[in-house]
Amino acid sequence: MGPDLSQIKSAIRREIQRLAANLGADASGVADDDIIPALGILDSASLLELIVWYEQYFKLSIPQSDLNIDNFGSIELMAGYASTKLTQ
Amino acid sequence: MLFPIYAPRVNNNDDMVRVGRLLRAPGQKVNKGDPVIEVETDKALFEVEAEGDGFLLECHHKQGDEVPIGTVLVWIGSTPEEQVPSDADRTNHGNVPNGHVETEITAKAKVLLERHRISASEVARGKARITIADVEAYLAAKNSTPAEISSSRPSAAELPEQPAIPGTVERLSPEERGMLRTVLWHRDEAVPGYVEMQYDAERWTLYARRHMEDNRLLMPALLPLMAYRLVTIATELPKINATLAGQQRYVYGQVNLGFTVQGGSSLYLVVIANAGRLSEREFVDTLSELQRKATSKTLCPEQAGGATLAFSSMARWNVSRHVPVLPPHCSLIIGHAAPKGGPAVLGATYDHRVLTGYDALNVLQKLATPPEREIA
Repeated sequence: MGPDLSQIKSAIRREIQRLAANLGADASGVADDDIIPALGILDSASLLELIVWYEQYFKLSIPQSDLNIDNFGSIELMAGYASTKLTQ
Repeated sequence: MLFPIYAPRVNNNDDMVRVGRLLRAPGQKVNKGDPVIEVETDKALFEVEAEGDGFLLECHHKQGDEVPIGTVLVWIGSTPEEQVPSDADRTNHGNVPNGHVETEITAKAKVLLERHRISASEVARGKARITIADVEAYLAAKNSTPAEISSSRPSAAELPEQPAIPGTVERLSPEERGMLRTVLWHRDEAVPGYVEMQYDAERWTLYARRHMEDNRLLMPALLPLMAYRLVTIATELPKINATLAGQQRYVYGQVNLGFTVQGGSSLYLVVIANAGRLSEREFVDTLSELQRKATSKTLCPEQAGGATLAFSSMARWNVSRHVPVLPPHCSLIIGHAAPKGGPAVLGATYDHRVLTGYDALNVLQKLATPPEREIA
């Protein structure tokens, strides 16, 4: 049985909210398909922290070539990437 | 076959490293590339890997021991019962023990090795003979500068000094010791000057946004792109990629670009070696990987040492001015600040022994605008 997508999304959402809160921003209303970098709630360094957390949390090593807006632009995309990799 | 694992050189300025945890138990099987023992430096804690398959036989040191570069840390044998060499062999760093070919060292090479406090085993790498050319090549590869420029003065870190007011002594972390070493070099060796200018951030912002869109990046690579611009400027103006050697300017043969990264509460200077060989995209990707490594505290030693030129930004912290400290043996570090609602600022701390204020301002003026070809 593969990983639960909703649990993956929840974990990513919690981390985004935590990182946003560190910057004084509220990320509670972020939708699954919102483009995170475009929202302006996380700066570049926080996005970097999010990716590092993601790798550690899901025990994945992301190749630099995969680190793009098409794979990590939204909660939906990030969850989909993790789900795919975890089931391989 | 029996072979040793030596204490590696991590930083050009560190001749000693601290032994960390043993990551395999004696007698345990190890494969080539397996982490065997931790070594702590001023910059980071990192893992030394086995250079071949075998069994971990013995560690001669306990955690916390300070050992010279080139010291045998552990032995790897073909069986768990294999005997390690005698003490005499262990301390003979110039020769490879246990029946291997002895390394001949020429007199001049020996003098240079001693002057730089480098063990012969570091340079030998299987060679039967070490000449002065080998040592010089080794130093060049490490971007080390001639020994003459080393200060004979004791640094403040070596002078015990405790206030009269009662208190407790706390050991500095490796990162804090690295920072201490850097600021002491800045204070004791360099003659720092500082200049700054405001610049039009809009053009750079537009440039970074286009780069992000063109390459489908997750985030604008504004600062890495500015750092890459600095690399290309250094190609035009080699003088800025230099240090002082005695009474002469020592112009580095390659640009090792240092870039500050905040990893938790620690500040790292990640280094892209020979950055001039990379395209803009390759540079941005390489720096992105190093930033991830710094943030996850998994930098390798060669990724955090040997900078010849540096870039630092405190834009994230919304400060209006950032006067960075010169990394050891660098003559120029850019300090970038871009406060919300205020003017963006480019500053340069420079070593006045090597560069003038005009030189530094010349760099800032070039750095203030992105490459023309991309914004047309």
